[in-house]
Amino acid sequence: MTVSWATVLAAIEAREAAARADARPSPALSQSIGRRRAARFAALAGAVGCLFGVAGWEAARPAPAASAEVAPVTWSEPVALNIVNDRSLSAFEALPECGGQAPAVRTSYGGIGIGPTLWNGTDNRALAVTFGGTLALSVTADATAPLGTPVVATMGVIYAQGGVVVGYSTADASPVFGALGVDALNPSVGVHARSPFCTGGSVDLADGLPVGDYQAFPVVRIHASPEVAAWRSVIWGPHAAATRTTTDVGPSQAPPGCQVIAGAISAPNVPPECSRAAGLDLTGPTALVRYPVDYYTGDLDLRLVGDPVTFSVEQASVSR
Amino acid sequence: MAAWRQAYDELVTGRYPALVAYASLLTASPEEADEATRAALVRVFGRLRPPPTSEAADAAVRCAIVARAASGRRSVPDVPRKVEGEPEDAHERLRALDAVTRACVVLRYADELPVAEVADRLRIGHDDVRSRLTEAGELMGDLVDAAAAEQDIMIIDVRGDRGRA
Repeated sequence: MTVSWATVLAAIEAREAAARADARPSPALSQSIGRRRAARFAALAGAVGCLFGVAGWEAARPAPAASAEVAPVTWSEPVALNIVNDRSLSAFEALPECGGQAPAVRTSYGGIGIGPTLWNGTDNRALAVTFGGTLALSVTADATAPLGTPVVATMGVIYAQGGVVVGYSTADASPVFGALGVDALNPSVGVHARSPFCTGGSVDLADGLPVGDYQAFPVVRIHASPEVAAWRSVIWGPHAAATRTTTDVGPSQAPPGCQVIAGAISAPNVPPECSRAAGLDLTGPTALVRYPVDYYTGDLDLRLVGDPVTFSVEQASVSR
Repeated sequence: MAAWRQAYDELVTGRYPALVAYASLLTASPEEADEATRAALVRVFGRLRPPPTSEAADAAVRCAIVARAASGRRSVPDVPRKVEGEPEDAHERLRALDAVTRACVVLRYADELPVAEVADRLRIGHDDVRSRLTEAGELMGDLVDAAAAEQDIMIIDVRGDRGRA
């Protein structure tokens, strides 16, 4: 007899629920929630008072349709994003040079560090592994780091043979946004057979990696800038909230009219359906984007290099 | 009674055991499951605008449980990844996975989300999700058909002779 994962998980869930059939949270939990809500209301009241009394209301900002309970978004001045070739979210601010020296391992700087290199979720740096998988790292911060700084962590991989760069890749590397030392920042990157390989001094995706032994150096870029904040707003923040559920904010905080922003900015030929009042203008290769002011508190651009993973390509990765 | 309190009472009266049970899929111990559920309730109902219905609150609490369970625990777990000996219990093996891999399994197979949505929820790459699902199948040992683990549907062998000589 065979059963699916879903059946097994449902059985575990049912058993656990039955074992706790009479369980209820303690009354202290609801009291804790009440205190948290009271504190948030007090903070909101203070913030609104500050806006009126010191800075004044931002007249250009679209009025939110939400009730007084929703904290208003305070928008930055517009930032010009190059939506065609922006490298703010790339692990490589400048692409590695073919034939150059393999990067030196540097796992910490200024209180910011990276954890052990995980290959497919396991710390097995000492093993020679078969090509194909995922490198992942965690970003750490101690008390000497600029804790709380909103950053993006992105990851790439540099391939080397004999200490010389022979290729690199950012395949499947999603930007991870969060506050340094507060949120979990766990970037990852895919290591694929069809990675670009240096041929004649330049990289060529079509060739792929030849048979041989390689070292894969994980490269993590921890980056904070107005451009990063604008991308965060587009990908995870208010601009994206109209069409996605997994964002930093709720749909009520999406700028009016931004129904296809995420799609529009990743595919510039798609006609945007977003008013200029929302801070986005996609009439050219440069988009003007506002972002919530708490997405940017200062510049940071740090590249850390983790311990390499040794692997081998045992057969031609791409037919020629 | 405040609206949030009414929604909260409605949720915990009818759904609390189910929420803890869901958390138990995502955590490494019963204590962690209880803690994750309580923290999720505080997070969801502590917002200035909590979900308007108990159904919406249920979904929001589950999201918060996943986020808490998966955050900051990508490293190798304290418990052994490979459980030796028999008999085996599927829940014990699930608990032996690292937190993010466990979350991948639950979101993909219990919540039936597509891989892309799982990646979005956990903020990891699509390839990472797939490799973790494969890894989960492999680490389940003889409870899982490793070949089937490469596919979306994994097969678990629960033959009656398991555990016998």
